[in-house]
Amino acid sequence: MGHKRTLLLRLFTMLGAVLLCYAAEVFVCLFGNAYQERLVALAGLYVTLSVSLNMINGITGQFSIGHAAFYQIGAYTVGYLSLLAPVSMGYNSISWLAMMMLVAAITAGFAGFIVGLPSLRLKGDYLAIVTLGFGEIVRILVQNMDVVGGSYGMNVNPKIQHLSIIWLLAIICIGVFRNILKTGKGLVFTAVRDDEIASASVGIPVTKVKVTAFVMGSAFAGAAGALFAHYEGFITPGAFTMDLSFMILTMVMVGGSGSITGSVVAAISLFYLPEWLRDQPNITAASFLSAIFASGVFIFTLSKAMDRYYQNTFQKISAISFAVCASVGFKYLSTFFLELVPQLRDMEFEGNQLRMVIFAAILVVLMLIRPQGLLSNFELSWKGIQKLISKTLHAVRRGV
Amino acid sequence: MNNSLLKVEKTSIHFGGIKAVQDVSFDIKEKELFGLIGPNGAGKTTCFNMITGFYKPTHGRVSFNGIDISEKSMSDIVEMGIARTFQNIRLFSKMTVLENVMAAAIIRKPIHLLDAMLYSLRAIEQTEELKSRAIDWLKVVGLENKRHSISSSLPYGEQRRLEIARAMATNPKLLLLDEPAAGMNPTESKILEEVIRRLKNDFNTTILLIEHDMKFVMNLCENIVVLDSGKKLAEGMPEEIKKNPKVVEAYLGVPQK
Amino acid sequence: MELSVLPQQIVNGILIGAVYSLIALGYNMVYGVLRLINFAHGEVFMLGAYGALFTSWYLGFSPEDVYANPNMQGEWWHLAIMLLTAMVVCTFVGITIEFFAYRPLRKQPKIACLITAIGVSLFLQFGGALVLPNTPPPSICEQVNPFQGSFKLSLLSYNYAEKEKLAAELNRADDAFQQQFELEKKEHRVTNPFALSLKGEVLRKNKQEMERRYQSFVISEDLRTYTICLPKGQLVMLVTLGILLMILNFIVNRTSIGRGMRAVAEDASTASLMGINVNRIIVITFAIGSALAGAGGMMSATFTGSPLTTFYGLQPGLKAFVAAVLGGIGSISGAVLGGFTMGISETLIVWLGYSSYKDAIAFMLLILILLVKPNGLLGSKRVEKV
Ligand SMILES: Nc1ncnc2c1ncn2[C@@H]1O[C@H](COP(=O)(O)OP(=O)(O)OP(=O)(O)O)[C@@H](O)[C@H]1O
Ligand SMILES: [Mg+2]
Repeated sequence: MGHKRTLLLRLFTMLGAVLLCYAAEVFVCLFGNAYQERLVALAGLYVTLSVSLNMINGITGQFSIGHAAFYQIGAYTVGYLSLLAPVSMGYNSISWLAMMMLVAAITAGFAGFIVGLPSLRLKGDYLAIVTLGFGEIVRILVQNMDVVGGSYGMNVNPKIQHLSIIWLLAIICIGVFRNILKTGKGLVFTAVRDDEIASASVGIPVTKVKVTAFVMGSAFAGAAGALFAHYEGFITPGAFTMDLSFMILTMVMVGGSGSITGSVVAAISLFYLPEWLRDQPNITAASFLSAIFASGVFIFTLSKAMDRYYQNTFQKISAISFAVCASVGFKYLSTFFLELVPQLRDMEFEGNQLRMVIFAAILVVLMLIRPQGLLSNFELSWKGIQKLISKTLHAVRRGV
Repeated sequence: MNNSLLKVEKTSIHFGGIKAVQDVSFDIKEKELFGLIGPNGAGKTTCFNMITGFYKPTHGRVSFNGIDISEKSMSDIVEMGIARTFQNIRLFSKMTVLENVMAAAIIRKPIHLLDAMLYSLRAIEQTEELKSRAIDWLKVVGLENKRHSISSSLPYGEQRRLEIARAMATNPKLLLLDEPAAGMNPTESKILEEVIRRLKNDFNTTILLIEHDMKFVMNLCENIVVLDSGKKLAEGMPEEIKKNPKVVEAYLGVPQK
Repeated sequence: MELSVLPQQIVNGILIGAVYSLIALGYNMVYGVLRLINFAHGEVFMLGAYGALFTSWYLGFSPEDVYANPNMQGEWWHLAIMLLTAMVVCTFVGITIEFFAYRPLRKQPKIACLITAIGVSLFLQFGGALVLPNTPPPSICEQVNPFQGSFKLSLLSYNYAEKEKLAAELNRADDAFQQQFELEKKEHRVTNPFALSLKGEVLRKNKQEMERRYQSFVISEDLRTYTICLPKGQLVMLVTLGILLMILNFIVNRTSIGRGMRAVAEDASTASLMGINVNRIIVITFAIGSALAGAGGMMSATFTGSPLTTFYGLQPGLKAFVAAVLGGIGSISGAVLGGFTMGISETLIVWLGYSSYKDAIAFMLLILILLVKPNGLLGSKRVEKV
């Protein structure tokens, strides 16, 4: 009985997800311009990438920092196939996309298997280095392959732009990994992360588990690559550099390694942050510096306030708002004083120049104040929402 | 029908120059409570590591139920029915008590990856069953009330018992306990003694036990092997061991004249 | 894949390897005490190069000065000051990074530190680009380097007689031409050497022919005799590397600080129980490692004359990092070995004609070695005890 309800709930969640994706596509196409549409599509790909890396990094604890490689393998598999496939062939774009996704997932999964194998022998940092190296090797090999256009890149025909499919992949990726974690099977992966020797001592085939995680993670990245290739219609090796891998890794870490919800939230926000900064008008050096100081003040006051360990919510909220007020006040004050220096007042930075700096600064600061990531282990679930609702209802009733 | 379950035959383990275990043999019968004692650094833990496949013996062989296991992997050996605890407790420290035991029980009740991915009815049922099995084991060691605590937050004695429950959840025929009573207060070690007896009597588990607490060992074990500097010094019933002058010498040094 | 240029390529590899070693040392020392891959180390190297650049400007070798007076020439102590400043700047940068970015995370999982390191590295790259001269890439003027020219070393006996004969012929032809030129200048007021009379034209052609003959002889003779050309500046670089290594070796093996470093590398918590101030040791390690990177940055920027941007440390940093792992992370001699291996294999790949795979080969080599020797060439094996 209970099971049936769970199943039904899942079914509806899935159906809802599909509808939501479709609605999102319609909405974006109706009201957005091409640029915004592209941002939404890319955000979906980043969600898939970071959630799939979280499976390897956060949940299984295998230090992989070359995720872009699998993304690239997926994209280039599709690119290569599109060269072979006759363009005139009549096809339904969605089924073609699905097929390409599958092929890319298989290829990338196989690559993941190859990379996962060294984890037999390598641990921690060394594995990290091998994955990083693998990413570079793949990129450079592709750069030297003339069939796929070398470093100039290649056109992928046809261009198929379905926002809904991209987000559907993201949702499937989230769903699959959440499902695994909800069953007892998930424990196998988290056990390997917690303690490999102890895992082996209770009969968990550690190597197999690691390789499985690698294969699953990279397969999803490959599928995302396939969608990317068809969405952009053009791919170059320059799109899959180490920076991309670092970006995905950062998303996982900022969201909280081990929390899929966190990966999603971080992927979306970290993807939009630089884009948003790009659109910002020029900032003077004075206001930039004062913003840096102010965030320092914010962190400092917040950490001091948190040290006091306030118990009730009200005190917590007032501590946080105090920190906010203090930092905002400081910002205006320091801007005023810094603008007295003519060099600082006249020197201007473009938002585009600043975006990577701010991105990096946020990364460092976040790790310093919350190394477990924003959401640490938290997962969003129906149960949690239910609990929250009933709690608030309860509180409201009591208040009345 | 007391046939031998674990046979350790002339095994040695060398780490570079260090000979941690030299030519050690012993034989454990089914349903036996077997003690392995010796001064610090005698090679006891190394013996455990060898039996469970963490180290491969340099010479000699280990067989379990008549099958050679000296070249098998750790997880295969667990699969065959040997489980262990660690001298320095190694729990899955970020998981809850219940999850710790479930993670071990899963090898007897494997969930297919595809089922888990799709969250199929079968996977849900299997998870439920896993949970109930795990709770059963927690009851045996008396931790069922703490099932939702994070394992590293438990007091020391309870962590030791949890580790035993986790090992038992793999349904072993042979359970290896590495200093289970170390650092326990008398009450805790009394509880532990009861638990171990129960494991033997109610669950037909053969137990091999390392312990420095002589009273604990002598009370519990039916047969004892003494190691010293990697070599087997003596073997026999507790009474014989107690009287053996070589053992007394190994533990207390040469009596002064 | 000309066999005769192989020795030269190997020497080039050694020279590149020297820079890699200097950077790799920092990676290794920091990894030794902190078990942390300091991804920002390449940026420390970059800042070292900038430090040297600004010092050279301060010493009067800014582009404007050099443009105004192209014949100025540096002294050895100019270089020494540049080296010292670069090292001091980097020491300061390294300590700052350690204090602000890594120290608060000492107790946190390693991956958090790694992310922080990546963050710091990006911050220095992009933040540096805001304030440091960036486009067009400035570079240290070569006038500051008094060690111009190069030594030549032949493996087979060099035909000096022939060379001298050709040189003499060239000289004679040149003299004849100059004479004619002077003459015509005086008589016909010719100012352009290309507007001479027929005779002058013949002499000029002759001189050019001689020049060509001389050059082609030198080239072919260099090839035939496996001649290695060793720029003096880079030789100085090698010597400096040797001296720095000796100092480092002394510090690590002979002083109490070095003993502390080795103890912390072995087991930090035990070391602190033994009364070693672990934080102090870590700071010193960062300081030394960064100073070495600074030296590398200065030498690379000065002697290879490469243009500087804030991404200057990216590739060398990565390569040196691979070198560190290759040699065995945590091992000092490993870093040097790894650095040279890396440098030489890179030039060998170029020699084999696969220069576009140059950056990939580093990693392929790395993966191969790690699969055979998971702890690198000289790294010690860490056994996990249970
Ligand atoms: N991986 C290893 N590498 C090198 N030496 C080892 C290794 N493991 C154990 N040893 C050495 O083997 C010897 C036996 O160690 P072991 O841990 O088996 O002793 P033990 O009998 O369990 O002692 P204790 O009662 O202190 O637990 C010790 O000298 C130890 O240092
Ligand atoms: Mg022991």
